[in-house]
Amino acid sequence: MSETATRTAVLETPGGKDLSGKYLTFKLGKEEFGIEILKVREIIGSMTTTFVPGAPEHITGVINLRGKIIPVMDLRQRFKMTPEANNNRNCIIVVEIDLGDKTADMGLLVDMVSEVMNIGGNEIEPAPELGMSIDTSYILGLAKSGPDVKILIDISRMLNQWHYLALAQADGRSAE
Amino acid sequence: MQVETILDQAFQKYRDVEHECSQSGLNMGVKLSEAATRYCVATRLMAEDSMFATIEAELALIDQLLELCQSEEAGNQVNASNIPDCLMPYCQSIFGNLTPKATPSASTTPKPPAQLALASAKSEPTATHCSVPSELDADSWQMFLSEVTDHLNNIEPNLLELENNPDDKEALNTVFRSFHTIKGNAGFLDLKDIIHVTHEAETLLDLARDNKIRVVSSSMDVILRTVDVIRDLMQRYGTWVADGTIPLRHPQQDQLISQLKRLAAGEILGTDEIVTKNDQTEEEHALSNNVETLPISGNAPAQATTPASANKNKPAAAAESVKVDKDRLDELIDLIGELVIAESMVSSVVHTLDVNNSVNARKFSQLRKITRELQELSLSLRMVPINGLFQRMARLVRDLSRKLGKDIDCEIIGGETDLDKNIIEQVADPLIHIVRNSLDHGIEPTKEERRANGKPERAKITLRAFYRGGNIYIEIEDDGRGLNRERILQKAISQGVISSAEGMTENEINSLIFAPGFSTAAEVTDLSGRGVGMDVVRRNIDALHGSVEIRSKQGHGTTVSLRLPLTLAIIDGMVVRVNQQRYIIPTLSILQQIRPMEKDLATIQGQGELMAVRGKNISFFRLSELFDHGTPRISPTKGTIVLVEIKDKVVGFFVDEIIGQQQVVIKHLGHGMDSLPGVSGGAVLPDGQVGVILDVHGLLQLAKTKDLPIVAA
Repeated sequence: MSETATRTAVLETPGGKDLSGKYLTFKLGKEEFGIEILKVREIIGSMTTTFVPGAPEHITGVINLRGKIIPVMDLRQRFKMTPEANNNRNCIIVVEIDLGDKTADMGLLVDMVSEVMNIGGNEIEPAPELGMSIDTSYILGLAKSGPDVKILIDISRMLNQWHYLALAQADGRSAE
Repeated sequence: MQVETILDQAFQKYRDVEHECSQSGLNMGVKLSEAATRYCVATRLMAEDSMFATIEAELALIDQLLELCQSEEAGNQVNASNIPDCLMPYCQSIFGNLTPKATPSASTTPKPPAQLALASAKSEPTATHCSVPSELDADSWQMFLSEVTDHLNNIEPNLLELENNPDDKEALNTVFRSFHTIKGNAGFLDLKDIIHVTHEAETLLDLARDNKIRVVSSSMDVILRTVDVIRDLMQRYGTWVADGTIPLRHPQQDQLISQLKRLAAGEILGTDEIVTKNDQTEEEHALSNNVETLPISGNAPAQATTPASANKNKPAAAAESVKVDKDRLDELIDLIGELVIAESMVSSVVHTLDVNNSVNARKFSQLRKITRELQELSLSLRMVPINGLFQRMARLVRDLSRKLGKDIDCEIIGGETDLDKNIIEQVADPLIHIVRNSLDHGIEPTKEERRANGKPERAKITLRAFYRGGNIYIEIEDDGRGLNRERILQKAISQGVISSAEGMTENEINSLIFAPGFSTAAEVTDLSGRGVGMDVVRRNIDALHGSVEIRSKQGHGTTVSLRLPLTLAIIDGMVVRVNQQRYIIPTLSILQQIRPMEKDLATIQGQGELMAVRGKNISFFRLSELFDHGTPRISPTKGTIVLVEIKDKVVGFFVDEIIGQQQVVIKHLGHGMDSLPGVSGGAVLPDGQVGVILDVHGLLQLAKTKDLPIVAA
């Protein structure tokens, strides 16, 4: 319990010096990503989503998660990667995102889930500058544990950005 | 601390005694125990310095009470000599005069010095801020708040009842008891400003109970005003509890107290004073939106209206109830909705697997029965009678009619009709607009005009609620001048709402008043004329998946009829298929579904599509195009066109197939998905997949932005 508390506190320090903790890693193509395990509610197999007209492109649709409707985001689309035909290891990671005053659930469609791993603070490097075309503001850092580099993402931040994007789009449409 | 607890207990017990006495008609007992409760409150306010004297006094009081109960004879008098000194002020304040044979002729009783003096010594009189207790925890405040709100809500209808029937002792007693309880509770929390105000109202009512003063309409105004001030004070204290800023006193607090005192002293207040009161009351009740106008005409033929009799709207028999947090209740109802869906999913699977096993079939039908019952029950949980809302309107009618100088009766029919609490909250604003409109524009300004048209001088407004066909109808009917259609048309054309009146039905003309900014009022008054109100009505009712209709007969009056679904959680939906996707269109918006024939179809510039329905050309849109499904156009004869009515225009939406009709539980689509055009939510369909619920107004908007021509029906 106290470990959790300190970890969260460390994560929230500006500059993101110490980000050590448990991460769930998953794959999109050849790249590996990690999200904080505390944000993950569950992992479900990929299922048919219902298309919602007018929703942003990277939202593949909505699913019924035990009576609750949640949107599912295709992370490949979100990262502007080339879409890939379904392999049978596709998964939806259900995450809880922090919206300030409340939380919301959302599904992330990924190619496959790898593992839960402990990443020490000394293994994490700050996100590099990648030029204007790639938004890195939601990247917490790069972890070099093991042979590959893992991109650690701040899921709440990323989804909140998307939310504003969606709102802006909707406003644009109604203003037309 | 301990002393306070004991005092609290004593207070409660005295309250019980008082209650018992009032039930068995022991007036003296009531008064004695009341004195005791007041004393308890006072002791607590003063802290424990007179503890010893207190105990003695209490014991003496109890002796008196016991004696009283034993003798149990009518006309028992309190033996003044047996009452301890420290209790005298309190007893005097209640009995007025403690002579064994009370002087009944005394129309002006001495002012009760007791509690007022006591409290004013502590906080008054020049303070601009409310006096706040040294400590108050949020829980006690919440309990206090909900109790006071209940009592205030209880006071209002009874006051209105009392106004119509000044001899209604029952109503008078109820009002008195409510004020008394509020005062007692406020005393325990040490909220002095509320104590003062309620105390004065209580004194006045007490005198009325003893027939020492007459309840007249001017005193009603002041007492109703008291209710408003207490509400306002509660809000002010509420902010204090929340953030600790000491609230300002209500600006009219002192004025009100002095008026109550003068009334209690038998004075009759001048009408001007009362009118200003009403202004302010009205102001506070007023909405931020301004009300628009119903056009009207004079020249009414004779109409026989029976004099309105005030409806008896006593609060329903007090069934035992539990207060539950609203969010938890909503969650429960949602979950039960899920259970129903899950149940139908399970049984559909089982039926295909195991057709012949009758034992299992019986078990499942049992399960189904229970889930259905559970669902019905869950939906009824949030249902409350509409009476509370109607009572608020009755109050509004009363206040406004004074202000406008019109004599108007308000009749309530069907107040016991149950409606989802969420809907009641959202329908309140539209109702206020409609009522204000009716009063301001519908009812003739002078009695002479009414008389000349053969109507009774007193106008009447009727609030009615009833069920019909799975919907609830709320109607507001007035016997005023009715809509002046020519004037509406004139205005509508000059304001550019329509281009010509040709071919418009009566109903369509009536509906013009819902157009934004539409007003026929010659000048803008503080009540109406800005052309906002009826637009608000239409929008709010649309948001509830309901509809508005106006029936009006020139010279005879106007009826505004609201049709609303019984609950917000569940709608009747038509499930349609577009390509591989299923959508749900609320059945309420659907007029008709048609499979078009080749000969009825036409296009405009190859794009806008039209279909002839009974001689009228109706434009229709393909959902697959509105939603960019990217599939090739198929001939409309292969699918179905769903006709919907949107703002008095009929348009069609083309779908591939109608799958069926069913009830669905409305849900949010989740984070970031709430402002999509044409989409109002989602629902879980029986196979566990999500269906998107469409909003026809949004669809039409979407169609407009897609640059497709729209042809009026």
